[in-house]
Amino acid sequence: MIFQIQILKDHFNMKKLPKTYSNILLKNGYLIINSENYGSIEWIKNLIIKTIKKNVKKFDGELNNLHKFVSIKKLNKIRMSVYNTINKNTELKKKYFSVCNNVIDELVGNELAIQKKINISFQLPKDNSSLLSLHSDVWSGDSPYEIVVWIPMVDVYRTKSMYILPQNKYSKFLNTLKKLKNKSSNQLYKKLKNDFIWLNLKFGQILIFNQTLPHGNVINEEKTSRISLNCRFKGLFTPYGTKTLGDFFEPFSMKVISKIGTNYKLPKL
Amino acid sequence: MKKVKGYISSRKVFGNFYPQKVQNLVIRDYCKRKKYFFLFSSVEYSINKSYLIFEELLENIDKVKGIVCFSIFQFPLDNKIRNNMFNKIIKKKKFIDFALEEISIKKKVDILNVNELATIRYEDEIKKK
Ligand SMILES: [Fe+2]
Repeated sequence: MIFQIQILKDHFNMKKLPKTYSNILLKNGYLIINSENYGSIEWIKNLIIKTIKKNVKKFDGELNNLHKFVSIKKLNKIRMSVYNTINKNTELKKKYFSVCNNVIDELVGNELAIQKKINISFQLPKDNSSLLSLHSDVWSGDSPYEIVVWIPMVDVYRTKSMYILPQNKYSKFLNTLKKLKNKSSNQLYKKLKNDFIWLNLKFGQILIFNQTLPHGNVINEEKTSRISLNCRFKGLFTPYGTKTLGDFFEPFSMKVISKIGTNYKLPKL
Repeated sequence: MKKVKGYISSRKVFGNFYPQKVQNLVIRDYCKRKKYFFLFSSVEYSINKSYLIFEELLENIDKVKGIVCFSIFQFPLDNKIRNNMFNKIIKKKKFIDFALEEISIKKKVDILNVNELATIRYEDEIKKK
């Protein structure tokens, strides 16, 4: 499966370790792959376009142009409506998983929990209302036993994308955090600005990242809109954060012996 | 309608854990009754003693009329430290509300009332232990 990996070459220089997904994730903190199933990613895109069209009558079907049809004032209402509608579709999670099945299998395992609802983000040019400033998901209730699968529905680059701190800058980050403990997260971001990597992806590519690494986005200063999805996967039996199985996650795949085990009760005398 | 920003916690709030969904529901309901226009909440880092996200809200406070927090007990128990944080808001002629306790700080005197409440509650918690 190595042939499917398409790593940004300038960030990747593994001399000794074999280039497995696991080693790349350990070294860089993220990986970018080509979708394992192009049909699924097209299916997801069409579902989103169809759903937006129901909410925004004049929408021309080009996601890059969304800002031409939706005002920032109405953006969140439309986003919530699209989010609720696409998550009612029972096929969505299966399609989502099928774009990165093999990678997840290697990185996480084959007994999985999945986020109950797949998130959708709209980042319109110049919109400052839906920003996610510098954070790690583990600092707000997720466990470190989770991986994020992030799928852009359009080509993303520079500020139209998101940034992440690569693994090799993490200890520098911890030192800076200590020094700036009484400052704001924005000041922390500014101090480390040059250490973050902006992730460029074409539609059809998928970002998989370690959510313990600080990441975020800024105002989209490009000319077109970004629509992206994100969803977390974790080992079904690994520790949960405050986002637990039932309220945030649900079982996605389970092997038969685990089913037997979870249903087994010792006989009562 | 007054535009407000929400502020919720991912740490325990006075020994209790409240899911973010619940914190947002309490804030949303409070804003509805107060006729505030609620912009989504910022979540404080779970790192112990972190107020980096709150500080960021202060940097951007000009964009809103005030901040609605889930609870007064998201803030440090030390009156002095807390006063400093709230004073920064008053100075900018903005307000900070606490949805769970249904209290609001607009003026200096409000800070004193909040301190009284916090101290009584804190003592009460200590006695329970
Ligand atoms: Fe995140």
